[in-house]
Amino acid sequence: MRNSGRSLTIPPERDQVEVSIFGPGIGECIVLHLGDNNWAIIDSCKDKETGTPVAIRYLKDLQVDLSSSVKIFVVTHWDDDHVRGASEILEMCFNARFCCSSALLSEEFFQLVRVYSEKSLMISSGTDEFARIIQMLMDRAGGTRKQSAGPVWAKAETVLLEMDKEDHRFNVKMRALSPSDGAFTLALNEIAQLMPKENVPRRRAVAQKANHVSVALWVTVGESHILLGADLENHPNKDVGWKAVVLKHNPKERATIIKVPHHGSRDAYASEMWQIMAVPDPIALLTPFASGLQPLPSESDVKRIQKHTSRIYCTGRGLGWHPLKRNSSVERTIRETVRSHRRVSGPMGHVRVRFFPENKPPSPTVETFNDALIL
Amino acid sequence: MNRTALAMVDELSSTSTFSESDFVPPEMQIKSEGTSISDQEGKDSKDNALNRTDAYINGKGPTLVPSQRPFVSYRPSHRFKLLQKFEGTILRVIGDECLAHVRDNQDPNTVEEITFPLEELLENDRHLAVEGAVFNWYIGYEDIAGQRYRKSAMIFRRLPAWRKEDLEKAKEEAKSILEKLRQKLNDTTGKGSS
Repeated sequence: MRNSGRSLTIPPERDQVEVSIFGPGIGECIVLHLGDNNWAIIDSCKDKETGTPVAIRYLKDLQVDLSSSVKIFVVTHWDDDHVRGASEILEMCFNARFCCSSALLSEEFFQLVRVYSEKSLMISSGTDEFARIIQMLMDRAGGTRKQSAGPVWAKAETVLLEMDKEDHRFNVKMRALSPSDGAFTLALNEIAQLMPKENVPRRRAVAQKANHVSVALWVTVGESHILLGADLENHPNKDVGWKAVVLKHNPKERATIIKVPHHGSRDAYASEMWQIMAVPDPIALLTPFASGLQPLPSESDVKRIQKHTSRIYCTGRGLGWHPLKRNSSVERTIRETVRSHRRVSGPMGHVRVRFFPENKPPSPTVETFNDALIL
Repeated sequence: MNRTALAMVDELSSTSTFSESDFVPPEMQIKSEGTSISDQEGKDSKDNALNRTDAYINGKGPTLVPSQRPFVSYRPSHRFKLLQKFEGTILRVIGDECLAHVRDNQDPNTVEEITFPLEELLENDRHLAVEGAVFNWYIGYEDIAGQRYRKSAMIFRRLPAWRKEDLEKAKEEAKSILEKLRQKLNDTTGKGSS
């Protein structure tokens, strides 16, 4: 169902679950309603119109009290496109539990963050955002809200959030599927390689490759299951990536909604994941990655996913957008200088799935906003 | 506009302490539309002349006679009018081509991606185009001796090299922060948030 936006600000029913995924071309954020006005935020990207994290803007539009209703905020990994505005979310949702990959609780990563926190550069990077997060965690450590505010360092099988039916409408459990212990060692090596060397000119930290440390999540709400694949990829080692996750999975639990890992890329595709962890024809949600020589998802990526489901929703096209209109002399000069030029951050696409987990079947409704589309 | 002038402006601006006019000769300064070097200079000259006159009248200063020489507008024969500035980061270098993200200074929330041939850079600068390198891209008009030219200049920021002390300091700070956070983690292990 394509939506004009009028229904965008209508909050879900108290017994309704919502999975909202946002993507502006580069960046990703997921907002979950877990029932009874309890919310979770997974990753962060910024709305370019307002410059604020999209999760904050959306929840404010729904009249959600950020300080009390957001229970958990998970940063799946430290790529720029998953952490923009994360420190602002942490600041505003000050009672939410903060979770990130256990691989980041390492001296190597903290050193990397300190080293790359270059103040004189206009464009901040994921390491800058993490520097602010670490500072906030330090401030929180001295505060009084120790139980709720304390960071949780996620690794495979860590339970990040649990709400019992006794004090909640239905059981809610969020657990991490990754990173595995094997990924941890691998990640430390990758982080160490990113450390600058002495006497080498300073540079900005650019896209990282440590997707193995991504925190994929399994969310159970009542009898329904949701798989949020983060950017977790495959790895030749069976103790790392999707192979490790599938091996440990209980095949009785199958997800009806899947956030497709890593923008649908081939490196993150595991047919076993679809066969063992998902119901037939699940709802697949994904965000594009409009940057790079091969933007994601490509046509072949989509065809691969279509083998498992006919219901694929994406927050936008991965091909980018026309550059901004500028002075004609500037545009002429740009054309003469570059071989290609496109905008990789566009309107904030939004796909929203809502369902009643106690209904049999739950019959989810899917709405698309802005540039979001059905693939 | 010669490249050296832009490079000087760029390197100096990275320190944030100085303005470009502190170091760059007026004829080489980048001026935005609507500003004029000669207007500013004229104002300074008049202010100085008035100060000197006050001192003379009050008998506090040396006996100076204000210059009667009429103000002559200084018209540089060589100036750059900036139309657009981007800040960019090199993402990858593939063969003779660079892939970079650029952001318009007026709209830093919008990311644009460009590919450009290495030959757009001066030969001496090409070694600077590596992953993570930061550059400024200036587009504007250059006026030389009554002629106007459109110009594009990509200038890499020559940031200082990492020093051993920087890396060691970062290591110490990381260790200290991590210890505190680990302590915090021990305090909260096993406690729920709901």
